[in-house]
Amino acid sequence: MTVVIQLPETLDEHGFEGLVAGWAAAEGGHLLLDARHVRWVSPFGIVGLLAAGAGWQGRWGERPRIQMPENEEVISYLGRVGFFEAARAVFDLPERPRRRVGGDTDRLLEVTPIRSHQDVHDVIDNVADRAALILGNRLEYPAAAVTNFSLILSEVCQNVVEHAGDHGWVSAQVYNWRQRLGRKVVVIAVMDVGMGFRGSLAREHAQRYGDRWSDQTALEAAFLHGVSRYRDPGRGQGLQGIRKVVSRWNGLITIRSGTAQIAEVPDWVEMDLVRSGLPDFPGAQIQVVLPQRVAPDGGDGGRGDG
Amino acid sequence: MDRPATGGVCGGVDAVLHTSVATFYSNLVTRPTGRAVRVAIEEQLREMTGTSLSILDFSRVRIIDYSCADEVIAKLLRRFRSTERPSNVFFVVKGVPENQRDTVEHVLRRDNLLLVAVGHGRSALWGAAPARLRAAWQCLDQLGRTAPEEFASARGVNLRAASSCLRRLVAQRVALPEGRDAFASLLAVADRGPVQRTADIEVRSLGRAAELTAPYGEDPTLSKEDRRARPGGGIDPYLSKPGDLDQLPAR
Repeated sequence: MTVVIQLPETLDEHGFEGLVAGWAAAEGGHLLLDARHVRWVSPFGIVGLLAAGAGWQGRWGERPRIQMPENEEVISYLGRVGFFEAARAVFDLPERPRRRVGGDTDRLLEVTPIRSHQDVHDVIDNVADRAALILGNRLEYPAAAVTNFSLILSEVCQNVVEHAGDHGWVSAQVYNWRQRLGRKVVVIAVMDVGMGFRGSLAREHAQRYGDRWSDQTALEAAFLHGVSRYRDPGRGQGLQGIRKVVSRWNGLITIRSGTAQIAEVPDWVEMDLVRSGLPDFPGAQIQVVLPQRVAPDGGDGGRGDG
Repeated sequence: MDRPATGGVCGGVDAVLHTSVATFYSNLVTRPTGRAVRVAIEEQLREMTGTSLSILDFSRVRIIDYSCADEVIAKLLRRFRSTERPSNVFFVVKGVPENQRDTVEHVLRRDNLLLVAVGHGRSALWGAAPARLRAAWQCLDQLGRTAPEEFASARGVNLRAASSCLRRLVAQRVALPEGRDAFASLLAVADRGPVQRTADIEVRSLGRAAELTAPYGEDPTLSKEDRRARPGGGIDPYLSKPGDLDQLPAR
């Protein structure tokens, strides 16, 4: 039996929920992700595709297939961000992966697998200069904010290595959210298909929660209270730290794990702080949105937005 | 580090060790790297006898993340603040950029740690100090070296309160006792310490065995058999014996 999940035209965090709904409802077999009608894809959508594929393989032992988007711009973009190289390890691709070509000046970080701390080091070292150029020079973030971007990136990537028990992917991109926010934003997406927050924290903390232990309480424990799976008293500070940094930046951070999602929500978006009862999906899916700095006079720091 | 006059030789410290911290990468990120740096520092400090001041210079580090701030700075402070500290070492950090101060303070506040930081010829007290204690530290920082009587006069408090304040600063490891009746700011000691030594620490790469097990601490979900079966299995993640150092990221 072949399970076909048709992907929406816009494959972002909302489109990913549609994908997950189909993914969670399926009961094994051959998976085909039909991406033919995708016309726009975000970092969250891209690493979400990889997570869906890898998660399927981990759950059902079948290597899924993917029908590529018909839109040439989407295909070109996926090539530029290195999707095909990563997809080769996940999907049964009928053709050779397209070669990556340059030229995307707003691309902060290509799709990068995270398997070890060495990968985290490589990501941070590789992205530092580009972040300074794009965030500092073009978006006029202050130097401290550029540093914070690397800091956030480091912590969310380490979360994969230390807590997932499996590998993951990260990607980051600059967008112009002219309609949604009237500003440019930096979007970071990190995903893995590991044990998730509930699985990671269960051994040390589930007993205390009793019947209340769930994906939601695990996320709250980690995100709000800095609880860690390790007994080392210094652990658990990373997520709390980046929550503080993102909040000060008036940014958005969402963490989805299992059937729940938790968020630090800024004033420019309407969203529930906690959601539960979502379709079950393995691992953790993190998205961080950092908006462009706004000058006190309400302008964008003295430069055009486009 | 240009400082006010300290009033003579600082007799409370036997040596001052300047350590330049760097990694093969320009950024101090990830727990394994932080742990490797801390263990290297502890190795250096093992050679120190008596009371000493360790100046950790982060000028060559671009970014320090929460994990490394905890692994290097907070863990050193916790260990040497404890009554079971391996030796009587006080710490000062130097060259941490102002935009990284939040990161370091975040980990300090979690465990009520205080830290003296130096940059551009000025010093600051980082961490969540109560206002009165912070004011006392600033007063001592100005005086450099002082006796309780002088400190009481400068602060406008009685002798008992002055002595209590100074002792609290010492207990927090942000001031140094000198003999029975004198106290010194760490910066004054840094400038006038009797024996100055320098050292570099550079972590070059991460050992694969350390990547697989040691950095993350003991995984509570694994049985002993599972641990042995993993690559690099059986490695104690929190090492205390010098003989275990070969399992750490290579220096």
